[in-house]
Amino acid sequence: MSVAHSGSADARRSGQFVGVIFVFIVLLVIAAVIGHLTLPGLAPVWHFLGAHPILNALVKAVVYVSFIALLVLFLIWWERKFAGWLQARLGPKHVGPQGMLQTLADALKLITKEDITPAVADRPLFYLAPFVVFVPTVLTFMVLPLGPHWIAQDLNVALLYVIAISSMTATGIMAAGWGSNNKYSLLGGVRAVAQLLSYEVPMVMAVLSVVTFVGGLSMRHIIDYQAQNGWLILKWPLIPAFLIFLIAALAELNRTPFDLPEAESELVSGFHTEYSGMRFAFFFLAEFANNFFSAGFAVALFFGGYLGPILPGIVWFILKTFVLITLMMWIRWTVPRLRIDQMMGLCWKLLVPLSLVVFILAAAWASR
Amino acid sequence: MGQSLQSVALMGLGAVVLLSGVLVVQSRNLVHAGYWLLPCFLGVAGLYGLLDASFFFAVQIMLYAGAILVLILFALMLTRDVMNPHIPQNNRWTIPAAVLCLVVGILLVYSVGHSENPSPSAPFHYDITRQIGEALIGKYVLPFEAATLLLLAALVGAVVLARTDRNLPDTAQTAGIASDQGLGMPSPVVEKSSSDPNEIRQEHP
Repeated sequence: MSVAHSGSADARRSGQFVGVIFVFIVLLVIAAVIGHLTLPGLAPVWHFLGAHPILNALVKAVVYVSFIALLVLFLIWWERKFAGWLQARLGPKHVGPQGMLQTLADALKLITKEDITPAVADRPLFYLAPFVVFVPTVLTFMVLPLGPHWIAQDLNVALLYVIAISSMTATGIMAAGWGSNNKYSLLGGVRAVAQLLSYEVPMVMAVLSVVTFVGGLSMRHIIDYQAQNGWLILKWPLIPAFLIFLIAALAELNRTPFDLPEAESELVSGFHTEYSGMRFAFFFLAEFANNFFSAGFAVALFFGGYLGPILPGIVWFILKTFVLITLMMWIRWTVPRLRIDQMMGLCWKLLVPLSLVVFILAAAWASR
Repeated sequence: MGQSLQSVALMGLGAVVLLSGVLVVQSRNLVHAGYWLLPCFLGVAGLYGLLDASFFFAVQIMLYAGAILVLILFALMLTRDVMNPHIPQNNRWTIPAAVLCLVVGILLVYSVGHSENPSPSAPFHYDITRQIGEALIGKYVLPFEAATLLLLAALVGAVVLARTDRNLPDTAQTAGIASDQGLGMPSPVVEKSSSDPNEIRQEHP
């Protein structure tokens, strides 16, 4: 009986798998069509916007924020689905095709929910914190090369800019922890900031190793280099650099092996314990948008960004990014949480020395 | 068009920097005062951005908004009296300080306005980041290394100071473990009894 049952569940899951892949391919084709058809047709629009800097910035901001919102809706659904498969269950199923509209329903619920403020909260900080966390996330997307022409602003210090802007999140998380006036929130916030600051060191060293190869800090520079010399991950000193980058990114995203800031069994849910409704939604949005950004950043640095044959660039970029995001999800739902001293030890005693060695190797290799 | 836009942005950023700077000093709540530094630092970064000094723009955000502000906030959050309305905001040095600030301000405005080589009105259009990098590795490598040595000494000093702090009688047992870890030895799997805020303070002296 149980065998037959599990057999049918397996069949259902594999049927679901095909359905999900189908949905995914449809989305990619839509993205490809949009990318291919609209870009040349929109040339006069770009030309017009280029002459009006303020309008240009506003249009780009609206486009990017909507892009991020849609992306996060999809990512949350994908994460729940993938987690379901890893844990031998089905995941969301009933709202929309393969449960795809479940996140939309959840988002509507979050918007209409009562926004509760604790009586003892430090109000200005409590109210502003979600936005201080969310805004840097949106700002980092500005330099992400989604496709050959899909880059909002190609800064000449893009890598430095990304590292700088993403470090601003720490102040927002601290504001949330302090403003909630709750011991769990404060502990979670302090942990999050300690983790962010510590893991930034190996992450910057890993990015620096890439810079020694490329000799430039702009995203276009990095992609051009990879167009001529092949993906950077194929240069052997950069394989450990990528692994260090991946671990540090997981830590900066507070994903499971490193989810101490929001450890449910210890801290209720860390710095966003007291948040509800829309403000909580902003933390959530920032978290998933950051996840996409980290994966996309890694793709641009190590896996050739939007480079690839036949298909248009944006499709390649999204495909590669989703493979990496799925790898991160796989790690998240497989590995148990570290203890705080293990987390700090891993960073300062293993990753930092290793990243220094990798950096020296990369510099030696690049300057042969 | 571009020129007027730039001057509007310049004035706006200047106003943000000045206003938030005043609020840093004026806030009664210490943590709020710390957070008012954030728009101040970002405004200064924006001014660098307007001058096309993109390297300084990024470094300003990374070091000030990302690192120094967080350290200041840590220190403020660990102080005992975050908001005490009975502490006076002025003391007997207020008037001399105001006079000194006025004199320095006038001198600055005068010297910038009358300097032989005024700051360029048009932004630079060359790769300043590469030049800074080459200067630090080439011409100024010795002063650069001296500065790093100084910082390293400060770091070691901070660790030493923080460790003597730990040798209180009630934490004698944990202090032994901590000193093992401080030497970079593989630590035994022992639950530490110290609480988390102390823990983190150790990591970022």
